[in-house]
Amino acid sequence: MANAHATPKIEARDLHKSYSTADGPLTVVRAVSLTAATGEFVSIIGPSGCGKSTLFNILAGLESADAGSVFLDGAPIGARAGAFGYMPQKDLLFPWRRILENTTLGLEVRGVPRSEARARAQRLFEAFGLAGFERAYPSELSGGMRQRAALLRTVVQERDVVLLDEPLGALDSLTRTQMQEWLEEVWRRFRWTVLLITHDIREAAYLSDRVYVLGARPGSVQTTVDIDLPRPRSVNDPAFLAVEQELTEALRVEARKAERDPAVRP
Amino acid sequence: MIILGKLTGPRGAMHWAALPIAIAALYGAWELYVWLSGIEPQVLPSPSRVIREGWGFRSDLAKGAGFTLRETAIGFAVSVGAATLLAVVMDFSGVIRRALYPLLVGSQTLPLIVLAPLLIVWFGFGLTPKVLLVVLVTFFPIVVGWIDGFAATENEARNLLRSMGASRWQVFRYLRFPNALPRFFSGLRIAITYSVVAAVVAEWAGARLGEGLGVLMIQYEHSFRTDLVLAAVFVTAAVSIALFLSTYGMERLVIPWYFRTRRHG
Repeated sequence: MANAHATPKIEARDLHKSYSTADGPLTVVRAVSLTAATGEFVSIIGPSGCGKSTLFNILAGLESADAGSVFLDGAPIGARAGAFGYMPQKDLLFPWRRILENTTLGLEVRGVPRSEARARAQRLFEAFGLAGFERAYPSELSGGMRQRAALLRTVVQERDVVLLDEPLGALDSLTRTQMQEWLEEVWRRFRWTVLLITHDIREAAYLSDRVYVLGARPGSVQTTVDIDLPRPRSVNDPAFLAVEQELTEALRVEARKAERDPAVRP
Repeated sequence: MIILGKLTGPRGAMHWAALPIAIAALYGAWELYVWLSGIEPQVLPSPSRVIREGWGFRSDLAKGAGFTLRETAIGFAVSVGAATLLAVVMDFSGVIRRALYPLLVGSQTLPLIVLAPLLIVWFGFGLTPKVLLVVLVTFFPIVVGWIDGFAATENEARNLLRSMGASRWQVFRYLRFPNALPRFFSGLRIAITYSVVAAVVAEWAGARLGEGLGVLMIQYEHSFRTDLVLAAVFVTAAVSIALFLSTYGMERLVIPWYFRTRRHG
């Protein structure tokens, strides 16, 4: 790994996962290792079908890996949910719950008393630009606000690592840019340890301390790019453009490989 | 929702007027036919006669309707409770679902008209056979409403809850159950429109004198009072429609979020 921290907050070591299909086993994750230190923002990008989502499902405890292990603070955590706060692409806010009740869902599941759960979520509403919308229903909010509410629901659980699975992927491009800037700000304030899956190179370059580029299926880490630029970053800064260029090139190589190799299914 | 939605729509006046105009037209055509043809009231009474005679017997009809409504309410309450319990059990156990679902479908193929007298033979002239028939008729749409509602749960939402460490019961309580409520109400609405008729059929098959609209219909028929039979029929329809409309009120009380979501699209 490029960054050799003493004990990383989260470390995935040599993860493997394959599915049996009618045409034989299909490997979707192969020898994936990655690491994130406490308070680091780490992104994973790759061509479609590179096994990013499977990797996240393994980390979130929704699927188990065939081989390899995940370490939290140096100790193996096995295949269980709980160490990670998971935010999928869809906001999945429940229409029957008001925004405040939606954001306390994870706490309620864990058995935190309702009044305490509400107080804890309420403290974050200002920073998430949701003050005054506690009693609104999800359908009354804009797409950007809904994503912020979904992120609030994730981070209020105070898990060790926040997993973001293309959280901004469904937004229009203007909202998306605004959300990237907002996410960067709020992350600098709270310093969660974040793993982000994205298709968006600029998003990865703008937000991340480190980016893992996954290869075409079977997915394994092909390139690791450390980004040591001051924050907040300017997308017009030549150094930023160079990072973007580097990531684009790495992805292009992988995309070409995927096209060339007929054995690799999209 | 469709009916109420139209009534409160932007062209409300037209929509409000459509139904009264249709009723007035039917009433007028019927009245005119009876008057022109000179048909005997024992065969086909005029609507004005049905209303006039029905009004004259209003205390009997009201008392009968009270009985019928009570049977319907008890039967429906039992049905909702049992159907909900069964749907939940079936949601948790695939084996039970596979065992019982075909039986439930089978229960809907029983000819009620034949079953009703048998229930009287088995359970007497009291409340029990009426309640049972109402349950038999209304049970199925409610179970189906629940089961369809449970099945409509998004996998991603379930995964989200599981990533929070939710147990199966918590997934049910926080997600599957509230998610199924709109479909449950659709099933409830279908069931409630049949429920009054089921009670009336059971009374018709056998009940003590004066205890329900079904019994009144038989009494009036035997004394050739076609006008009063029809009056009892209209009261039955009115009670059914009132119950049907009341489900919209219940729905707004229980799942107000559903209407907000629809309004905001």
